[in-house]
Amino acid sequence: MADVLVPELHDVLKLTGDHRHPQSDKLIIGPDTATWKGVLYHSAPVDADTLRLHLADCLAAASSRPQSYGGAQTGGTYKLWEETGNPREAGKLDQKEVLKFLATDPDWDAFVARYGEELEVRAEEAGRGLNVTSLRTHMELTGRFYRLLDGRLDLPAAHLPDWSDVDWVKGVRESIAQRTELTVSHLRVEFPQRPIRAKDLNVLIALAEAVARIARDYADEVIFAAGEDLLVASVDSARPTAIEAELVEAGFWVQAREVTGTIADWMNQRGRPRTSAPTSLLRLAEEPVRAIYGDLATSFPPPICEICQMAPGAHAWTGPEGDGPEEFLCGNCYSYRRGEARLRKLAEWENGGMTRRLAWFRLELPVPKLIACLQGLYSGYLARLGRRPAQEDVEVRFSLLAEFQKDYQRLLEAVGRGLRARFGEANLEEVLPNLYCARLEDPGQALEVLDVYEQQVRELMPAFVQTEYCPLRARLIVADLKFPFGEIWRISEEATAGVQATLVGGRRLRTTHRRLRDVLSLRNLRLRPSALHNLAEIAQVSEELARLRWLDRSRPGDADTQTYKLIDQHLEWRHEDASGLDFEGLVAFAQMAGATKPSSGKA
Amino acid sequence: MSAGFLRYELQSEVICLGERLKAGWFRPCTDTIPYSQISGALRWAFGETDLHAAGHLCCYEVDHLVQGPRDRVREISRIPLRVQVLRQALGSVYVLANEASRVLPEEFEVQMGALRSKGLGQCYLRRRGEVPADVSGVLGTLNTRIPLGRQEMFGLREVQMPVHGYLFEPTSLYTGNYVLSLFEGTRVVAPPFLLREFCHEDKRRDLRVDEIQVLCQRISDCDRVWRPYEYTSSFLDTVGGILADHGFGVAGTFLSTREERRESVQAAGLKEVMRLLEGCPRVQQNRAIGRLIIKSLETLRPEKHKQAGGQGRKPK
Repeated sequence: MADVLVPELHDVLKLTGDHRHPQSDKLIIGPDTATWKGVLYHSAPVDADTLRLHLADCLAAASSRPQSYGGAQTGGTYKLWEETGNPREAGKLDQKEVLKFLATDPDWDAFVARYGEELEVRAEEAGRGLNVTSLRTHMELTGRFYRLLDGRLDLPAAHLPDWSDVDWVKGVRESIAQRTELTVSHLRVEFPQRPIRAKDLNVLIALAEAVARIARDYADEVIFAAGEDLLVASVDSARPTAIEAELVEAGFWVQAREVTGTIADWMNQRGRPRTSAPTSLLRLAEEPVRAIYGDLATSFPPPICEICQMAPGAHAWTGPEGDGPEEFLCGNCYSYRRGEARLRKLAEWENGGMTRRLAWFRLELPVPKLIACLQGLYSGYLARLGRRPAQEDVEVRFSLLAEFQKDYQRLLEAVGRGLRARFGEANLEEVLPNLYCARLEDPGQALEVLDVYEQQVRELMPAFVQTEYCPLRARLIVADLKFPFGEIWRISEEATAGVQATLVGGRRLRTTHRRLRDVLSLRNLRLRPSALHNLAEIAQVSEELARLRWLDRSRPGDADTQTYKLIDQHLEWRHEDASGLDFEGLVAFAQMAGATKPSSGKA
Repeated sequence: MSAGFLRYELQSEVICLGERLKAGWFRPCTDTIPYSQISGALRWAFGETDLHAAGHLCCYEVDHLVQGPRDRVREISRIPLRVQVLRQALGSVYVLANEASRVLPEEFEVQMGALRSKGLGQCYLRRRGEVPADVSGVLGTLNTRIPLGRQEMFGLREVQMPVHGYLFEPTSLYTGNYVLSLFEGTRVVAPPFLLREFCHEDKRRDLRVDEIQVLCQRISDCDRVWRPYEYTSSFLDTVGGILADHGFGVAGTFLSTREERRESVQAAGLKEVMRLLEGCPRVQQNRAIGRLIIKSLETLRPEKHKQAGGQGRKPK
């Protein structure tokens, strides 16, 4: 028998539609490998490895209760954010063929290379209401938990004779699950700098690299990573501390929230007594935040670093040629300034004498909001199946987040592709996968960015567009090329609406994902550019005056009034909140779209 | 917490609560009132070294100014400096009530922040009451910046999630150190007046109101304006146009000539509007505002005057 158990492959028989318990009446003869043993005995452990696999399997499950919600089993994955109505059909593979391949004792990568597509389509649980994660995600996650639990289970002495005793095994399993603690940490990585020059933006790249490095080096621990957020699961308390230390060492500071519970709590099986408050990912939002900084001096004499203002400015910087104004920087900021500017297009635009208007687009995904939204969508899914779901049934577990991670990545890539197609490679700088900067030939193009984004979200995550509680946060900031990035970042951090477009020096357009299409489609109406321009100009004097002009319908024949009425009808502007655009937003729209004079006569 | 606090309302036309100059050309601005800035301004103004204060801003407009500073030593102009400023800033300042604070009058002016030599940072403070010493702390988000060493003085306890930064603390007229401080965003148990969650009380008393909004309200409230059942668009357009092009004198005279005619009731009402418009400095500066208000006058008609009871042309 081969020595290495590939934990991911424990559920391989689900691909053949013949996932049976070892005590099942149907005996399947498989290869004599440790992996096959895992396949057969992961639900009824027969040794320490299969017990570990069993616990990992439970932790990685989308639901702890194999409970049916009725209807035919299609086997396909139902993605909550796609809400496609009917899950995709998953075909069954030929069992002999799969067993033949297993006989070669493949590792996980080899298996994915051969059956990756089928693993994506097949749900972890075929039953309706349980089929919210793919088999692949579940298998990968099981492998990660299996490795995390390595050496942490405090098992009874090996080779005890009672592995065949079901009750004894159950007792051991319970005891371990009640004793072993699993901590989930939500880490948000922050940087103290307020970047001004193009080279200062290297801090963002450093941050992305640091997050990517953590996700790679702690691949088993990092359940979810998006932008500056990391969700880390660990059995060993030293691991999250080590991650925090690495991030601080790289020059960042970290905000951390944690939920700790026993494995039994996390498995959350029905009927199992809970040790304390419910241990769930949703609880992360309620936990107090810790701040983790590096060594901070109690006091020091001037000068202070002018970029981060967190350390003595020990290095003088006078520009690459040495003829610029003198700036005092700390070692960290100095290293960014000395390095090569990684964002070359920004520098080119600065020196090229071209249009100097930029649109910055940033997509954020607050993890607590994501968890809450997924939970809401899950409740909705179960309710549509005709059952009133119990609280435990709709819990968002690790597997659902891991499943979402892949599609979020797809969304980011699709938005990037869309922006490239719309603006051209030469006019688009990808700062980070979720942060783009587009050079605008025409200021009215700014709303094109939101248009591209809206199309992609609607296509890839339509359920998010339907809900008022969409966890995505889209930020568009239109500014002059010289406007310091530190301020752009601050504006995007302070934004609160689901979709917010800010014109620096102008107004803010705040709306929801649900109404974004309606707002953007205003551009397709035959609106008089001058009417919007007039409104924007009046608003510069007084917003009250602009409101007065807007409401004045005493001259139905007046061209401006007709434009205003058209907008009114389009957005059903009876209640500003329901319209998805408040008055300030309307003025911002006018400033962004109406202030230009498109050749087609449309704004 | 030691003694109580004196609460002052702060108003400033334009202020730059300066952060450090960035890259030699951009000076950002904080949107709170740090301990170091307000305490330094008060000490400088009153010559008392034991004055301690902190505060926050509740409303302002962010704007940018471009300055062309001159290097007096080298006799050359430096690259333009872009300064982020807060216009029409309104906030609250809390001064520790102690022996030194007795010198503070009910109302006074201090200069605070950057570019004071260019006229920025003129602050008008008016006493608005006191906060007792025994006010109990609650958990919330800090809305100001306070050095770690001054925590106790301001009643800050149980820092749950610090947001750190450094504030300058002078040691003499020419020297000082940067000291580790708690910045806005810190989760801490503190007196409510220092916390973001409780600053909405200040916002409710927003003194920075839109003059035009006040003017529109006055017109709406004036019964004599609404004697006519309705104003005709053409008449409003004519009067508004005359006002914008020729001023109050010509428009007023024109209305007097119409009092003998068909539009007499409308003319009388509009004369009342004209009186109110003339009382608004912004309309005097920019008569186009007056034209817009006159043209949209019917929008301001209050509900009670939309019913029968007026004079002139009856509604169709």
